[in-house]
Amino acid sequence: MDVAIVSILSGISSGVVLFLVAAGLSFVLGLMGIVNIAHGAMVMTGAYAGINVAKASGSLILGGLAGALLSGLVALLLERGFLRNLYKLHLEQILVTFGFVYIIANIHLWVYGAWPLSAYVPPSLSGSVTIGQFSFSVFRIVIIVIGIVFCPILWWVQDRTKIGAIIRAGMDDPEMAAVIGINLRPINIAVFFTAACIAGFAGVIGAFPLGGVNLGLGQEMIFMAIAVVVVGGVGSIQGAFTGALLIGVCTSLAGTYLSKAAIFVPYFLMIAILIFRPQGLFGKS
Amino acid sequence: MKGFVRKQVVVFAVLVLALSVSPFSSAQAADAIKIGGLFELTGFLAPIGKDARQGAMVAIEQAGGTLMGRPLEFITEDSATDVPTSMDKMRKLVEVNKVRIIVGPIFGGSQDAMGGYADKMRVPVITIPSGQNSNILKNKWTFSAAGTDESNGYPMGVYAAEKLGYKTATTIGSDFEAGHEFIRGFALGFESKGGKILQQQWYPPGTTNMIPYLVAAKNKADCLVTWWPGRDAFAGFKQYQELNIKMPIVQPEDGGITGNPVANKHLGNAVVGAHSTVLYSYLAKTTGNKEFVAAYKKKYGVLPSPLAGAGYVSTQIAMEAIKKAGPDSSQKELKKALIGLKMDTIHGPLNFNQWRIATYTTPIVKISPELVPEIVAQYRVISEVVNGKIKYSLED
Repeated sequence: MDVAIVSILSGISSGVVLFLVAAGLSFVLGLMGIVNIAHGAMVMTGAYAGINVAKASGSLILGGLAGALLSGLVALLLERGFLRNLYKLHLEQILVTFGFVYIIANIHLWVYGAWPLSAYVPPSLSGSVTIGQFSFSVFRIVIIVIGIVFCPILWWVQDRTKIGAIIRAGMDDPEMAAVIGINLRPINIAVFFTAACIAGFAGVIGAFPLGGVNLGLGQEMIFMAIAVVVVGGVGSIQGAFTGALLIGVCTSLAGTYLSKAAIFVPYFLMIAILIFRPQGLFGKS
Repeated sequence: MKGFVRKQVVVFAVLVLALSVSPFSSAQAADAIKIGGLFELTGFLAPIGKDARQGAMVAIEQAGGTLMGRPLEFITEDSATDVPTSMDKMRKLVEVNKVRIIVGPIFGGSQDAMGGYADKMRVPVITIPSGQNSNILKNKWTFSAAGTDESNGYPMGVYAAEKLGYKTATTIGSDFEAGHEFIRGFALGFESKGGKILQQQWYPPGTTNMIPYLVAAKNKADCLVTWWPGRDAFAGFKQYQELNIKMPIVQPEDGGITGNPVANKHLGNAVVGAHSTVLYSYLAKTTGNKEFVAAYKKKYGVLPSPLAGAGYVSTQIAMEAIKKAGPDSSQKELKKALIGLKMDTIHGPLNFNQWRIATYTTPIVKISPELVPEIVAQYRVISEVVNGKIKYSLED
C-alpha cells in the first residue's frame, strides 16, 4: 500500500510541474495560435538561473522570481524578434522555435557547463514524512500545494476577470474581438510573457521532482507539455491541470507496476483522447 | 566562342597542375596521419563525452602532435548522443577527412549503427568504454577497448556475492541494449557464485523520475543493482536518498558518474557507500597513470574521470596500432596490428584477443564519506566467443 501511495504522490508532484509548464503553452496556442516548441527551453532557462540565484541568496522565492523574469525576457525577445512575423505560419513557427531550443541549450552549455544542476531545497523544507517503509520529502508536498493553489488562481483569472474574458474572446473569435475594439496585440504579448514566466518558475521548483536540471530538459518538457495540452484541451486551465495530473500519476503507476510501459503512457492517453474526444477533456469542439 | 572555351580549358589544366605540386596538394596532405574522434559533446551523455574528449586530447598532446615523424591530425566531431548525427559525422570523418581509424563514441546505439559502415569502409572503430556484445559479434571492424558491457558487469556480480556476502539482488537498469548487457553481466557473475536475482526493472532512458522504480524494488533483496548512465544517475541517487531506501547500491558500471570525482561533488552524500565497477580510476597504480593524472589536472584543473581515462587509452591504442602497422600500411594491415596488440596502459596491461575484445584491469570502487572512489578490488576478465556467444572468466 505504501508503494502505491508514494508512487501516486510522486506522480502528482511531477504532474503539478507539468501543469505549470503546460498551462502557459495551452494559452499561447489557444490565443495566439503559436506552436512554441521553445516553451520547454523557457523551463530550462528559468531553472538554471533561478536555482543559481536561490543557492547564492538562500531564498527560493528570490530564485523563483529571478527564473521567472529571465524566462519571460527571453520569451519576449523570441516573440518580438521572430514570432510576430510568423503568425498563422505554423510550419515556420515550429522550425524557428525548434531551432531556438538548440540555440538556448548550447548557450546554457557554454555558460553553465555540461553537468546537471541539482535542485535548491530550502533548509526549512528539507525534512520528510514517513509513509510505510519510505520517506517522502516535505518539499514535494509543498510543490503539490503550490499546484493546488495556482490552479484556482489561474482559473479565476481565466473565468472571472475582465482580462480573462478578453483572452477567451481572443481565443474564440479574434476577428470579432477586433471589431468591438479589443486590441489583442498587447494581450498576446502579455500572455506570451506570462506563460514563459510561469514556465521558468516551474523549472526552479520542478528541478527537485525532476532529479535536477540538465541541458535536455527543454526537449523533454515540451513533448510532455504538448501531450498535456492534447489531453486537457487547448486554452483551458482546468484541462491543463487534469491532463497533467492524469499523465503524471498514470506514468508513475505504470513505472511502478509495468516498468517498461511507462514511456508509452502519455502517448496512449493522447491517442485515446484524439480518438474519443479530439478537443481534449475540457477543450471546446 | 570556341577560342574562349579553349582558353578556359587551358587555364583549368594549369590550375590542376599547379595545385598538384603546391604545398596544399593531396600528395603532401597524405603525409599527415589522421585519426578521427567522435565524442558526445551534447545530448544526455554530454558530461561524460566531454571528459572522454579531454582524455583523448591529453594523449595527443603527450605524443607531441606527431606520430612516427609525421604530423598527427586528430579530427574530433560531436556525435550528439544521437544515432543519425553519429552516422553523418562518421561519414564526414571517413569520406571527407580520410581518417584511418576512429576513436569513440560512447553511446552504444551509435556504436551499433556505425559498425556496419565501419565494416564496409574498412575503418577500425576503437570504442571508448566497453562495446555492446551484439556490436562486437556482428561487426568485424569494431574494437572494444574496455571489454564488453557484460564483461564489466561480471566482476561486480562476483564481488557482490563473494566479498560483500550478498545472496539476493533486485535490479534497475536503463532500457536500452547497454543497460541490459551491464545488468546481465552482473547477473552472470552473481549467479555463478550462488546469488539470486529476485526482480529486474527497466526504465526508459532519460527518465527523471526514478521514484516509481525505486519504490517497486523488492526491499527484501540484499542489494539494489542499478545502471544509471550519465544524467540519469543524478535523479537516481538523489531520489534513492530521498526515499531513505536501506538496500545498498552496487553498480555493474558507474555510467561515467559514480567513479567521477567532479560528478560526486554534485551528487553529494547520496552516493556515499555505493560500490561500482569503473572503467578507470585515477588512484590506480598502473603504468603512466601518475603522469596522465598530472597532465590532465594541469590542463583541465580537475582529476580525470573514468571516461577521461578511457578516452586517453582508446586514443593511445589508435596511435600504437598505426605505429605497429606502419603509417603507409593498408587498412587490412592496420586491423591485423590491432588484433593481438599488447600495451601497458593506465588500464593496466591491455591486449586484444582474436574477437577484438580487450582484456584489461577492471577496478571496483567504493565511494567514501569524503566522496573519493576508493579501489577495493581489481579483476581481469577474459572474454571468449563460444558458439556465437561471449563467455567470461576471471584471470587468476
